[in-house]
Amino acid sequence: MNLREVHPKISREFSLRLGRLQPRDKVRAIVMLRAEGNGVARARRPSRAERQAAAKMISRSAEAVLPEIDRILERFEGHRLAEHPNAVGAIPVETTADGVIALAGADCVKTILEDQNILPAAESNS
Amino acid sequence: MLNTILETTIITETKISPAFAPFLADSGPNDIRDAIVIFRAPKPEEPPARGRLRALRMKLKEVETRARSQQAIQREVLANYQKAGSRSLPDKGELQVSTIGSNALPVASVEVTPKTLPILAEQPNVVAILPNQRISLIRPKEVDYKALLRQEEKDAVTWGLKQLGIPELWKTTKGKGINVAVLDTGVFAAHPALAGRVADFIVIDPLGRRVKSDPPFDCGAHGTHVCGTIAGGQTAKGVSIGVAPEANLYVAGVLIGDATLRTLMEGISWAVEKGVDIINMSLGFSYFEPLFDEVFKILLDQFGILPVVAIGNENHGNTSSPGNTPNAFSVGAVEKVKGGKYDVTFFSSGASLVFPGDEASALVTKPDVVAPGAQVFSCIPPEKRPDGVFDYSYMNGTSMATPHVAGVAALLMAAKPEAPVAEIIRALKETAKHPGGDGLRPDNRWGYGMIQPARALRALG
Repeated sequence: MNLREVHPKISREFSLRLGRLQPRDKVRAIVMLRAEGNGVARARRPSRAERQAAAKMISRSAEAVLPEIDRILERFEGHRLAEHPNAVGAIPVETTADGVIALAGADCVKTILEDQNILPAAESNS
Repeated sequence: MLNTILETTIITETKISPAFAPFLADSGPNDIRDAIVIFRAPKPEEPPARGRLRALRMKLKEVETRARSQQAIQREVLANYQKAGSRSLPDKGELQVSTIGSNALPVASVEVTPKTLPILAEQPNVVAILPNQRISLIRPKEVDYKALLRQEEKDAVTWGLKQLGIPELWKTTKGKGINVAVLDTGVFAAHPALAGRVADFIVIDPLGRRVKSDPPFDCGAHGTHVCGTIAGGQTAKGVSIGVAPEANLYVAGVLIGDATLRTLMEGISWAVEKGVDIINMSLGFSYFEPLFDEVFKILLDQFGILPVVAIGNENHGNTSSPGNTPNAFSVGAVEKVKGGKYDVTFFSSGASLVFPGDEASALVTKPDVVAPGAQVFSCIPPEKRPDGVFDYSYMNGTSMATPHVAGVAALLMAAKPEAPVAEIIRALKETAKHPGGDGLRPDNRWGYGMIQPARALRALG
C-alpha cells in the first residue's frame, strides 16, 4: 500500500509523515480500539459511579482485542507501550510505518493518532 | 458565444481580489496602481526525506528547480500582459512589471489600471491578483493593569466574572459537587485562593506513567492560573477570581517535560476514571489531528463528560488542534475595550474547516463560543520579582477563556443535575450573544457568541 494514500483511520498529516519514514524507522502512536461502553450518557448525565463503571467496561472490552494487536505488532518489530488499554479504549504502541498501516487495516482498530507534542495555549502574562 | 463570455467573466472575476473594489469604483479607467500577481506554479516534486541536512539540501534543490521553471511562466505572463495592456493605455505607454525575489515564489509586481486588470486576469496562468498594500506590525495593546486592578478591587470581582454576570448566578449555585479536571502544567494547591478546592492531583510523565505527588505542584504558572479561574476563591483584598468557587478540581500535570499526545491521553483516562463532569484543556497539538475527535466523541457519548478546549492564539484564519475538531467545545477569547464593551482579541483563533464528503461534519466552524480571555486576573505560584513576591497575575490567551467556560458549565451542571451534557452545550451556544445578531451565528470569529450564563441557566428550564 502506498503510505501517502490517506487511510480513513489515519489523518492526512500523519500519513504524510509515515510516508517520509525509512522502512525500519519506528514511530510512536496511540491506537484507538473498538470498545463497547454502556451508552448511558446519551439520555442523561451519568453519576460518578456510572462513569467509573463505563470506564471499566470500555477498558475491559478493549483488552479483549489486544492479542490481535500484539500479533500485528510482532510482525512489524513493534510493541505496546502500556500493559492495558485506558478508559477511552486507547493503547500506545511503537512500530514501523508499515506496522501502523497494518494496524489500521484491523477491524478492531478505530483510529490511529501519532504521539505528537502538546503545548499550553497561553499568549502572554504580566 | 454568450456562455463563453459569461464563463470568461466569472473566471476573470474570481481571480481579481475583492480588495480592488474601492479602486475600481473610485478611479478613472486609466489610473494606475500597484498590484501583486500570483501565477500558476509547477507541481512540487516528492516531499523532502527525513534527516535535517538531507531535507534542507533537497528543499534547496527543489526551490532552485522550481524557480527555473517558474521563470518561463512568469516571462510569458508578463510579456503578454505588457503587450495587451499597453494597447489599452491612451498613450500606448508601458505598464511597469517586475519580479519579486529570486522566483522562488510564483509572484510578480505589476502596475494595473481598471481597464488592464481583466486583461491580466484572463491569462490562463494567472491565479490571483491582489492590490499591493501597506503592512504593519501587530503590536500587543498596552494595558494599564493598575487601573484595571483598582476597578476589580472596587467591584470585588474580576472583569471577566462581572461581564458574565457570575455573582448573580452564585445566588443559585457555586458549582458544589461538580468535578472539573484540569489537564495542564499542574497546580500550586497551597495557594490561599485554592484552599480546599484541589480534590486530587497526579503527574503524568512523558512516558505516560502516573506519578503521585504530594503536595501538588505547578511546573509553571499556567495550570494554577487556569484552576483559579475555574474554582478560585478571593484574593486578600476580596477580589473573587473563580467562576465556580465550590467546584472540585482534579488536576493532572500533563504539560511537564516533553509532553506528547500519550501524556494527554493518560491524563484524560485518569480524569475519566475519577468520574469528572468536565475536562478543561487549555492546550494545543503541534499539528492538525482531526481524528482526535474520536476521543471527544467517547467522552460525550459514553461518559457525558464535557471537553472544553482552547481554540488557540494564532489569530483569525487559523485554529489549533484539538480545539478545531467537531466535538470539542472550543473557546475563543474576548478582551475588555473602551466604554464597558468587549471584542474578540486579535490573537484569538477562528476558522471554518471544510471536509467535502463528510456528511456529519462537512463544515466545521470554530470556535463554538467566546469568553473573557485577555487581562485575566488569577492566582499563580509565588513568583519573586524585583519589586516583591507576587502570587496573582494577569494572563492573556484562549487558555484563560477556556476555564471561564468550564466554570460556567460547572455552575449549570450543579444547578441542573439531570441535564445531559448535550443540553448544557446547546444552552450555552443558543443563548450566546453575537454582536451581529443571531443571523450571523455561528461565524469563525465569535462562534455562537459571548456566553451568557444567566440566559443559559434559564434555557435549561
